[in-house]
Amino acid sequence: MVKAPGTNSGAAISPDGGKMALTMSKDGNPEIYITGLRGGMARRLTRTRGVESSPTWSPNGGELIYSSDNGGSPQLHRIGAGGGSGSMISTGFGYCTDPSWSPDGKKVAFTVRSGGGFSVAVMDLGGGGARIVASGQNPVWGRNSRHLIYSTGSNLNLLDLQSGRTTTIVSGLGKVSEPTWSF
Amino acid sequence: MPSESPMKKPFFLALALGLALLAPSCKTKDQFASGMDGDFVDGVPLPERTDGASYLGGGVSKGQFSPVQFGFDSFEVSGGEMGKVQAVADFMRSSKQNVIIAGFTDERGTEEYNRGLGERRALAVREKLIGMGIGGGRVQTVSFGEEMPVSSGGGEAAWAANRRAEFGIIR
Repeated sequence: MVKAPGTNSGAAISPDGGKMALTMSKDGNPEIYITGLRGGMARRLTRTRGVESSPTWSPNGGELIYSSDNGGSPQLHRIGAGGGSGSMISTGFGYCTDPSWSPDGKKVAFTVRSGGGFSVAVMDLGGGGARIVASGQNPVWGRNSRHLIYSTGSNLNLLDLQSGRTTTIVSGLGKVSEPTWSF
Repeated sequence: MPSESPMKKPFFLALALGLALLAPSCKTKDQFASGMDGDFVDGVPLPERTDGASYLGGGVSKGQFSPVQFGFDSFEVSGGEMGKVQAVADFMRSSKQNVIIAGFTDERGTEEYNRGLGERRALAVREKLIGMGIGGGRVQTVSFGEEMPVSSGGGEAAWAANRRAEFGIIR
């Protein structure tokens, strides 16, 4: 699907299944690109001296949220899938990575680092601040935009944001991380 | 003003015709080449990965040069590390062998971000080599993020050792 030098990682397939956003470094810097799933030219979305990573699509495929450390430490940014300039999302946290855009389009979950550990945070994109909902990292939304799966070392956990209840769904397999959820 | 020799005209016509005949095949090949977007961040896109240039493969010799170390969450090549880059540049000037640079991070970051940071470190060292006159087409990069630490213990000493860019010589 992609054949390019450097490091290609963090692929996210668009909601319509026709495109893929990912980080590529072929042009001399880790940037966000969009490419068709059948190969062809990759189109670059970002252009900075920093590291862009972890793109996540909006439900309608019109925008992406990604992480960029161009300002120093990694922060969340939002950009149109057609290009333009990305705008930073103010979360109130100094280290924000691994964004996951909820299927209802209203929220973004992401990893923050604080106090030497990682936490899962959720932010309402319509306004309001971000809040920590669990200790762990790599959050991904379930289809109902109510449940999150995230990792904590050797465990994968399911969090019900409505009830606050957490259930361990995978354990005992050594280090587990970066889960994804089939729809 | 020098004038063009009449003897050269047939040669140039033949050359132009040859290039024109080659053009369709070049275009097809280049559809998958790097740098086709036409605008580059640093002006020097990465070369295509050649056969045998896998950093972990048998075609790459590792450990010949000291790794470049980095500060926490940084991809700046400090002045104190430049001697290591210079040693590789000196070697490349006297050799036809190419280099692949592998970037690594410590464990204090999320994995995907660390993959990008490791790649940025490798690219930062590549930029220094290019600045020393080494052709960008001779230097490839790869990132392993926080994987394959040289020191598995925790603490600042181990983290500092793991924040590095290693050099592999492509045989």
